[in-house]
Amino acid sequence: MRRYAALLLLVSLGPLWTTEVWFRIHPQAFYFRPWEYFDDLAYRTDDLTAEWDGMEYGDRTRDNLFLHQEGRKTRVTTDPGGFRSIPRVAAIYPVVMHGESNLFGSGCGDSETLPWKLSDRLGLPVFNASRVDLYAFLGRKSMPRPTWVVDCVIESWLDARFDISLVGQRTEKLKYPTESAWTAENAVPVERYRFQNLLGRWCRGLWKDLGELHQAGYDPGRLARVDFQPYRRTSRDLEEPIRLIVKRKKWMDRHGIRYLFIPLPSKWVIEGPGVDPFTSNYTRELVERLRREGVPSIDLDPAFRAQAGKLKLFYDYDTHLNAAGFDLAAGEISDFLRGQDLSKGR
Amino acid sequence: MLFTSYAFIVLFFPVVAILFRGFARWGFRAAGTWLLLSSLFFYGYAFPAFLPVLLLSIVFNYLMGWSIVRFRGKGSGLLLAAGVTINLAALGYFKYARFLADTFRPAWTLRWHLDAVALPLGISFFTFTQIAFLVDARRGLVRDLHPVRYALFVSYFPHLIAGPILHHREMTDQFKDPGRYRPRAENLAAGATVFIAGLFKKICLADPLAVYVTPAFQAGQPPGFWGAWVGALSYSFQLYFDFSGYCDMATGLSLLLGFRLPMNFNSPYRALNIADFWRRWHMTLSRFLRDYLYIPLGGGRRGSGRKILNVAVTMLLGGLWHGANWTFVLWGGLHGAYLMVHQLWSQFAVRRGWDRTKPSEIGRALSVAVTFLAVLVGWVVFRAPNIDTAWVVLRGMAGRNGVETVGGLGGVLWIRLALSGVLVWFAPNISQWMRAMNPYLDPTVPPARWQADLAWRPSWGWWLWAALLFWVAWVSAASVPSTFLYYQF
Repeated sequence: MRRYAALLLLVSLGPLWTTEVWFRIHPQAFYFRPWEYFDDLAYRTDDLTAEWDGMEYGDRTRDNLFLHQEGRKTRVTTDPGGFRSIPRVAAIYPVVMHGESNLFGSGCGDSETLPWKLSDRLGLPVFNASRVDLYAFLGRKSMPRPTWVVDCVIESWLDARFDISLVGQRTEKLKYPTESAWTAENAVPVERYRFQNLLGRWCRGLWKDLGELHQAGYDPGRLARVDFQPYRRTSRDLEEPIRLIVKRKKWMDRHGIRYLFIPLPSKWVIEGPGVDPFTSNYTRELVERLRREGVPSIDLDPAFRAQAGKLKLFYDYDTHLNAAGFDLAAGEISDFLRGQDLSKGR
Repeated sequence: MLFTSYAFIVLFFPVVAILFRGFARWGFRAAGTWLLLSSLFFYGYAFPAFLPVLLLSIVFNYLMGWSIVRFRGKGSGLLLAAGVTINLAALGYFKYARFLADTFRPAWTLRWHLDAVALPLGISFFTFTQIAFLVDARRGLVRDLHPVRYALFVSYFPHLIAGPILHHREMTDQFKDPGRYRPRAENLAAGATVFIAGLFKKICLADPLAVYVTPAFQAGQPPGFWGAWVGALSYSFQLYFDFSGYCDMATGLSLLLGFRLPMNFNSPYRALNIADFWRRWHMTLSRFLRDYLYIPLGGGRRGSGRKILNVAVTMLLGGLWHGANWTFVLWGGLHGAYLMVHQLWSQFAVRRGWDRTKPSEIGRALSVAVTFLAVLVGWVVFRAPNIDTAWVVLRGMAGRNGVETVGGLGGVLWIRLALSGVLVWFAPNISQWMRAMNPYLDPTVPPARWQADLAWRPSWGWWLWAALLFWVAWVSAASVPSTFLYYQF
């Protein structure tokens, strides 16, 4: 009787208490990505530093448990306002880079991000204003206007439904910073460390793994690739992005800021099999049209295609660029910016 | 704080239980005070605004009970009447004032308007518990008037919100017993097992049925034949698993602390007639209504006509106890009518000399089916937001709203209903299952022949089942646990 009671209490409450304590000691263990952790916990809890020193896994395969996992240790830090750390902090930034998760450096350590690498190449402060509303950000009293704003948007986002105002916005729930990135609510999301939620996640992941293995005839070599998000571009996909980018350029002109637009290469277009010719040449067409409209723009696709066979420029199970990809992009962008006046506005 | 919530299971209860065991070495004074404080915290945690209502009610009723005992025979009847009246007035104000105002305003062309009054959680339960205490005090059944024991008897958190409705002597005798404060492995084993059974009933059996109930009872959308039957059956099972699951959890928690609660359910859908149903469903409410309403009204001692009237009054008030809505009055009235028919039928059978003590298997099955059907019709009225909707659903069950195809309802539904039916009609109930370690104050219910082998014992097999049920329930639990249906009453 005593053994029955002790073991029943142990097996039911033991895991719950263990995960509760585990979460209190090391909450990062319960998060898939740093910014989930930052959103959910770090910036809502006053005494928790916005610093991630842990493992990240492939973004596209988060629903798996064991298959397609590409664990990598990363260190991600942000300033108190929620902006990704940069090597050179200054009162005035000659270059502010703006964009989505690629620019934040999803999957990368601090020093592997594009703004960090560009700053090193230029020897100048470059601000990482990723995942914020650009106009709200430029309206910050504490941030004097930069000489250049560089918008970086992954090419897969640019289509007929493109909405430039959503670039940089995080979630509808949590709006990103103007003066400060976060609202301290001291909320700890209990779902993260409930053992049953973890168990549910593991079970679903294992079920998905087994389903994929079954489909592949239990031969890991025949598993379907999950690292691409295929799509097909048409000429209609050019018009809306161009209209919005030109509009943004005009706004920058009115406020005395120089503007550069960079479509970041998409993994599907660079490496994917069977990409149709129009989709393959979409970026070149876009950049040429933008230039004709007076918007400076850089086509990174040729450089990426040239290196695609030699270097791994994207993560395996992720559509984001990796450190080598950002290194290549930073080289191209710095070549362009070196030929420009970086000291003052127009 | 819900029994199914993470905060309760992982933090609140373990802390309360462990410290209770620590304080128990100093007897009731320390351990009981700790339990009382924990119970008040439990109540005030979610709705601190209602805590003063509970405290005021406890202090008032304690003083009234003390006065009745102290001045027995010298105006104690007057004190009892005052106590009961004030309790009912408080209950009436919080629960029925708006209902009465809305009901009579059109008739009397009243100009005043009453805003909605927030209903303190569990007020029906703790008011009835204390009315019973006052009546017991007047009857000379109250021997212990220790203020902390009294406050704990009322506020004891396993039963506070939704029962069972306790008698004062049932709990105070246990609170006084030093043997209860010694840790016993049997209580831990049985308490944890019964709690897990309740948790499983609530999360895995009751909650998933809610999605089939709501569509049938939506106003303005008359359900077809199958939709109405599915809604009514699902609600019958949902309500049973929800409330009996709650009671199992309360029993298990109390047993983990070393105290037994009375039994509140005894397989009610296996009842052979409607009187039998009320001896098995929400047994402590039935007991209250019998001891403190039906018998004082005269019971069956003043002829069959008066008996029928007493039954009708008791059931109408029992229905109204559930809430301020005409559907509850109608539901109570319907059960009153059932009981009258049953009474007349019994008298008829006696006159004809029929032996109803040993019905055949077919006779038993027919009796169970007819009784369940009558209860099912009652639940439609009970669940419906208003009488019009209840009528629409009943018309649907009679096929008057058309007959839709069954295919659209989904296979999972039938599996759920079939599983619910098997558990309700064939599985042993907690008292039968746990008879090796009776978790209730009441004597155990003898199991049927085929249920005998399913008796619980502290074996590896049952340990594995209990652990599995706990984790299946826990993994299935929604992030935000659903409240218990009886919390609204």
